[in-house]
Amino acid sequence: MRRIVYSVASSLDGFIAGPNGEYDWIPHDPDIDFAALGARFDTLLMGRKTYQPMAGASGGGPFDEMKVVVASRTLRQDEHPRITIIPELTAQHCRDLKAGPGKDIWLFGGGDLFRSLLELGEVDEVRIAIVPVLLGGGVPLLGPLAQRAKLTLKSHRLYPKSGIVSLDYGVKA
Amino acid sequence: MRKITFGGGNSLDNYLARPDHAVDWLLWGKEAAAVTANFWTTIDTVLMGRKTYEVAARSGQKGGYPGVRNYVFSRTITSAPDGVTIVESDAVEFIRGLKKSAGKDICLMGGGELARPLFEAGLIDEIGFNIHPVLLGSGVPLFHPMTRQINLELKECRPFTNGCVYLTYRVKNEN
Repeated sequence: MRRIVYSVASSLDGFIAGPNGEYDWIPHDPDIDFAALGARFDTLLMGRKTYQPMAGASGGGPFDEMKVVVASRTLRQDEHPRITIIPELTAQHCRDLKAGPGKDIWLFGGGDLFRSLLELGEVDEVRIAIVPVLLGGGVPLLGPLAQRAKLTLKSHRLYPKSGIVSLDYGVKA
Repeated sequence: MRKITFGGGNSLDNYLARPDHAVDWLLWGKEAAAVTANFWTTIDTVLMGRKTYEVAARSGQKGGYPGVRNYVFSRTITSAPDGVTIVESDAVEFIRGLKKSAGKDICLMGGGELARPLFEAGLIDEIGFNIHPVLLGSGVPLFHPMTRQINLELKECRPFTNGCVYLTYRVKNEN
């Protein structure tokens, strides 16, 4: 069964991007093997706001091989032929995605989509790479939840060159 | 110069209490207790805002924390028991003076409202948090919006057997 994994870098004060969507606060740590981290996934799942800045990109990154699924009520499929648009991501959609063949699904962001899927009970794993910085503002890691979500710490890893701490949690049903 | 550490227990999504100030979700354990006990030997002063003090007072800790000087920053509280000093004047200036005075290090308890101007003024030296394996979704935030980015240096990362992860950072105030 495929798993949906929310894997993001976050500042210590809980932002996944700066106020204008910046990522420049994330240091390049040579010990972090992005290719290896991405190897377990073959599908990127994201919200519209996360997708739009990437939409015009010419490629060449580790995401080229991946299938992109965007949850959006406003984007039109015919204008974005290379991705799959799902207007309303229900629990059933998630279960269908997971039941199909393939590797795991990378829930790329943002916080709103994470919140929706968490409330549906469809997020299996949460991996946060905590960057040693306080941004003071920006795009939050997670939107407000109706009910708390309990997690189980599965592993942690410290990257000494950048001070990034990666924490890997399972989501309790 | 005395060192100020901002510390506590928080959820993974950065709340230090639920909206009604409940901290029932905090996991206490031997490892956290040992870290706290060890930290406590390095300080002789605790700083807190009014709301943190009132929550502590309601749960029986009316005299502040035992064995240390307690300063509570408030313009509305008029009296407090021995061991607790109410400070009405500007927190930033008062704390700047406190750091220069003699004594051991200082612990800044919650919450985020008191911490924010201190971060902005470059007065907080270290951050130490016990990150709990829970997403609360709402509550009293640990960190408040600030006007600038503040860089940190990781000092220690220690996972506990109950799933909490204790992280400490040095605040890079020398920008």
